Amino acid sequence: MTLGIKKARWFQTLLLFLAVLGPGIVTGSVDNDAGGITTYSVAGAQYGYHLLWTLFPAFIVLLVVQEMNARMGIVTGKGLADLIRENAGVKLTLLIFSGMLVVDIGNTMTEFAGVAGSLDIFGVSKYVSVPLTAVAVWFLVVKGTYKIAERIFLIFSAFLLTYVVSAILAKPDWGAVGTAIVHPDIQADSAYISMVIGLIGTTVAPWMQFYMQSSVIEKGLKLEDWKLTLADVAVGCLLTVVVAFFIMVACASTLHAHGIQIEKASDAARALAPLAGEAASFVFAGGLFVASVFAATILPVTTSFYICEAFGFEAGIDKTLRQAPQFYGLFTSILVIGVAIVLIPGIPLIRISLISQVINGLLLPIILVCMMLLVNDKEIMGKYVNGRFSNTVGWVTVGTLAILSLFLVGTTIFG
Amino acid sequence: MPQPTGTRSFFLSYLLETPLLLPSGAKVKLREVWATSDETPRIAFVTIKLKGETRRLLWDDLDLTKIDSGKYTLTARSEGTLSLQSTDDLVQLRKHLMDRQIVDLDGAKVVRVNDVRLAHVREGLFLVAVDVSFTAILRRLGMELLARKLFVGKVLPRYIPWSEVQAFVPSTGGAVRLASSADRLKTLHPSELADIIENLDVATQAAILDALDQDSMVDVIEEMEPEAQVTILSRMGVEKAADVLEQMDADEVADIIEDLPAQQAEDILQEMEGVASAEVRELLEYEDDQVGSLMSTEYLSFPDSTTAGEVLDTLRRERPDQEHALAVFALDSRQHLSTVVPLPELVMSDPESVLSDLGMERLVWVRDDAPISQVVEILGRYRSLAVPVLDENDHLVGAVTVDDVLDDLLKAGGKRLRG
Repeated sequence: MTLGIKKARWFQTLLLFLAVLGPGIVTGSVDNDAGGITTYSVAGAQYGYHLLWTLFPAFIVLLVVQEMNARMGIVTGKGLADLIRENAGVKLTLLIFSGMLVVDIGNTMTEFAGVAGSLDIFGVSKYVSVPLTAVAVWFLVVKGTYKIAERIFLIFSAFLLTYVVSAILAKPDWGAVGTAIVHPDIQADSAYISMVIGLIGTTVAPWMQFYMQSSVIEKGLKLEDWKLTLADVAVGCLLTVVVAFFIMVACASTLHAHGIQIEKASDAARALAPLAGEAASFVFAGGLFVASVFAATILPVTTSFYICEAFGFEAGIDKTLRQAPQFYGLFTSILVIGVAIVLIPGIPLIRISLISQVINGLLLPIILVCMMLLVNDKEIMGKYVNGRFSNTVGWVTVGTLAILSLFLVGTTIFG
Repeated sequence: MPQPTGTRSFFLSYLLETPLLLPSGAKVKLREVWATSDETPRIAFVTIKLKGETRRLLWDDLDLTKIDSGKYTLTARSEGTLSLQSTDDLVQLRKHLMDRQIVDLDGAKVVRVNDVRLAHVREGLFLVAVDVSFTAILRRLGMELLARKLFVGKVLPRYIPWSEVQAFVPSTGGAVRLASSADRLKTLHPSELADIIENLDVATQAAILDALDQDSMVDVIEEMEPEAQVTILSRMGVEKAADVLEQMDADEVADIIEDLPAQQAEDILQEMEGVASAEVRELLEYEDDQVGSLMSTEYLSFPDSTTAGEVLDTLRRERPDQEHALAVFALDSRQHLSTVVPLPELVMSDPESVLSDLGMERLVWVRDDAPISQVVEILGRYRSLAVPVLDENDHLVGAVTVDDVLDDLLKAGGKRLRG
């Protein structure tokens, strides 16, 4: 009940629909943020259809990991940050969350670069679009209309499906797409490997594990709802991968076919115009803008929240600035630093986002190891510890990612 | 048994870092420190791991000696006995207390234990307080001294004495038991307890609610944020949820039911008593912005020939909730509303006067399908405490009190979001 405000009926129906919408689908939608779109576009432009195969293992890993998070959330009723702090001790907790903070600043920067790039296509200067968006995001969170905003964003994130339209407008060679998936052309050079890590790292991002687990708890899901939860997680993962697939196809069939190399997602949008028509370009840019603002709101809030949760500071957007100074301090700092980096003229954004991706790649195996240990701990999970399938996929993923990440770090530092 | 001179206090984090020297010459670290769970917990024994075996050593068989500034050594007089099982009524300080969430009863909030303060006296080693400061984290990272030098005077521990701590210990099957002083939680105001529960995990939430009697549990749930109410009730099971909701006011129940999944809402309504669920169902018919969705269906009505004295006698006898006794409604012989008498006027008037002679000169009421903004305006303009609500046949169906409106205004105006 909200006093004195007349809500239109369609709005109520919409809220009702979103109330039953599961955490898996939400997480899946937020996953395709500016960083994700960039990685998929660059992969498509650079390697054509040759990297499409990565989406299959990415889907399985995503599904297995998110299923574990949902199960841990339901069984323990505790967030991942909580469980890590309680079981891994202060030192590892500090390491993980310092890493999370750095990665998140990098991510936030990427989101604002996405805002700048997409609105630039519509003719708005980044010195206007970025500060305005940042101020809007800050007020949205601090003035507490965030939950409503989250739901509105979610509706807009249906716009991500416009990438399917973009891809079809680009008239891909479906035969070649099929061949590339069935007979993947796997290369062993460092550029190719770093692209693969980038793709998997952006699909299975560390913050998502925390987000997924907390939303399951917030929804009050129970073990009886398990099958529905699993279905929801699967649909969410599928959504992520399907959107990724079409972005890659769109860029592969246009940019790669004409030998155009890009570095940013907005380059892709711009490059689409002469090849697939202005409509495809605008659709691509619009999707990018929505995804960027969505993630630029959610990532800093959730990261600040998990850090505070782990270290025992008051947190939550229902608290006032005075009640939760660390929480709002962190949130504001992440936002300000992210925006400032984007606005510095001539700053090597690509280089910075690459470094943050490497840290991301290092962080992911550490968090996954923590998760695997937690989810197999009988004292925490009771009889709901991992089965053989989850353990096999989990440990193989951890091992592979760890080796690939170390390789990538090696080539970044010494190469 | 350790024989200290005077009282010395140190931290659990130090104790866990202190090497233990065994008679065999082996040096090991403590795996766990076990304390009794009475009002002043005493360290009973420690466990170590030796050649893959978990061994238990009584604290009284250990010697704690200070070697130089702030450093200690622990010497054992025996190799310890095999420890196979944990003892149920003891608290494991490392596992159950360190890094866990507890309730600070004095501050009435949930905090995280960053370190545990122990006092070493002749009678043994006792748990005295928990440290919840960021300084404790720096201490465990070995950066306390550095931080002290950098921020002189700003880096201080923050202790909560054990008597003000409510800790939770996991027990078998994912349940949680309350470690000591369980009754102290009941001394908190329901709204404080509601805030605390909202910040805890589900198992602990269930443990706290189970420790309360039915009436206090209902009071606490009533004080929670709508989202938390829905989460808690949906985990409670249909029968128990129905029992709880039966004791709440129909208008509040309707708000909660609306947010539950459809099937569960229906199950709960079926399970509730006929009268209670019928009232809720009627309220659910109203749109969110209609007066009917806000009104309370509990109100006090009397024939308008009743005297003020008789009404007050009835109130004393029945003791209705304060919220429902802000005003009484007088009905004429045809059961139509004739006047509204606010409680202050009732108290101040001659006990012999009849209701029809009291009350405001102008009868102010509102229709059940009117927009909520109308009732807010009436409450504001006429400074009334409760406004009667009439249906299309002019029958009294409920009342909107200042309380109802205030709650809603606060919720709409305040921030009610969580990250």
